[in-house]
Amino acid sequence: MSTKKKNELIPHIAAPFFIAAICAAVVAVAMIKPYDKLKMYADIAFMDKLKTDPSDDSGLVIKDNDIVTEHSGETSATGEAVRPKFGELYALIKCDVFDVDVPVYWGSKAELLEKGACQSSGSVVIGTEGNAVISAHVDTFFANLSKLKKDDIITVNTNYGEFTYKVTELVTFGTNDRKYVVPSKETKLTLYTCKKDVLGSTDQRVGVVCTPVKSAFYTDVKEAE
Amino acid sequence: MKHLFAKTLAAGTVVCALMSAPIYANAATPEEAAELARQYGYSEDLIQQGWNEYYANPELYPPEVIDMYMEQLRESGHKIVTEVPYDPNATVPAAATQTSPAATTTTAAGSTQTTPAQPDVITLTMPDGSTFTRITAEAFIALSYEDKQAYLATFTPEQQKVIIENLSPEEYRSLMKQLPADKKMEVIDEMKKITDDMNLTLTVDEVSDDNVKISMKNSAGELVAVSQAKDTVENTGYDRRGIFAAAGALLLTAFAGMYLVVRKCFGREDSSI
Repeated sequence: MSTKKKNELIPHIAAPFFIAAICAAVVAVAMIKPYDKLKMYADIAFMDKLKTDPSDDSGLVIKDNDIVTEHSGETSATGEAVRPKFGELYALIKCDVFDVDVPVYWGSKAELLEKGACQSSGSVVIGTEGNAVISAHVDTFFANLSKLKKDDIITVNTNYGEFTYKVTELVTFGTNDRKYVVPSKETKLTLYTCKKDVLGSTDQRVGVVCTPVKSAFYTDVKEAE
Repeated sequence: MKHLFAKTLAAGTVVCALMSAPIYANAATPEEAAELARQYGYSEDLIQQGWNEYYANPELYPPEVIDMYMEQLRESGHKIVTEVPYDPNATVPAAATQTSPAATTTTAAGSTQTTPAQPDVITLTMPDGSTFTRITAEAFIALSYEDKQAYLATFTPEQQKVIIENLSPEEYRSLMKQLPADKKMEVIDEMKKITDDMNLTLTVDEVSDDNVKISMKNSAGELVAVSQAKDTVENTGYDRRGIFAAAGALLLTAFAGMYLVVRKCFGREDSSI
């Protein structure tokens, strides 16, 4: 084959590779969000019901519990909250704007944020006085958090009771501004996530502050469990 | 004879009481130890793990052991804050002279009354019954570590003792957060004496002048608590810069290649005309 013919052949061979590369780059970027969503649904669908072994040197044990969401027994406005173990799934957040019931794990750790929302162990347990602070990834469990409006109702189910909150404040704050995550005397629920950004990570956080509307502690906890 | 027997019985009772006093007079309960830890600002998670270990093997923690833990807790408390040399000429830091703003109230009759600005203070009572005032917990927490020390120095040693005894858990937490890193390690070392005894492993994940993060594992090596002095805002977004940079580089390369291909094909036709 002459050199001229070889030179004519190169563009015909190279062109499909370049087109494939363009398609691959576009598909990779376009699939980021659907992949995150798919992973979230898969995590919930195939949630391990058993206590898992520590995955690494951190010794973290993730425990996925079944949370009672339908309780027909007696309830009381006052009762005792059960302090969960670190890494334990202990609550579910239900709200009209969320695609799924958001699982809440006790403690903040990157591994836990992959599986659901995390409640800072420095905050108070749901159902007790003070600030209960819960965060989750903006690309997965709290993707719709910014759609919440004032007066929206949020329900948090635990195995010791069901707690209803009303959104009273929509907040935006920086990572260095900790006024919404610090302990408080008044009882409230603070939910936050990253502000949506094309590059993903940002120093801005958006969230909601909710006040309790109704507390229903299960009086027959053993039956409920 | 009867008289002698009564005297002997009374003396025996006194001796028994004196002998047993050192054992039971200070016998602390686990509840008291937990409350003391809470007072010093230790996180509820750490305290809960202490309870878990206690309930698992209560026989391992007789009152003498709890007494020892109480003493070690007090020692850790002293390392967080202790009396500073009294300086009668010291000036109260400006940040500590917080006052409530003047308030205007309207009476039922429609007239307005203005309450002048008042300094925000807490009144404390000395052992002799005399009283003195100090700034509120909120104002104390807002002070820097140096200002806290300077503020304490304006009080006599006896008053400082009373102030320290009455510090709230939040004030202890703010002090712990502000302690220099080496002093934080001293406090943690005191805590470790207790946790090691309870088969709990305490590890320091992060220590700096404005934060300390510790993890606690049980005897099975399971992470049971993570506690830090500073309330942090979690990282709730994935960093996409890597994937965007890779996709961008791929696109650039592909477009550059396509440009060369097109130029080669069409450039040749142009030159042939």
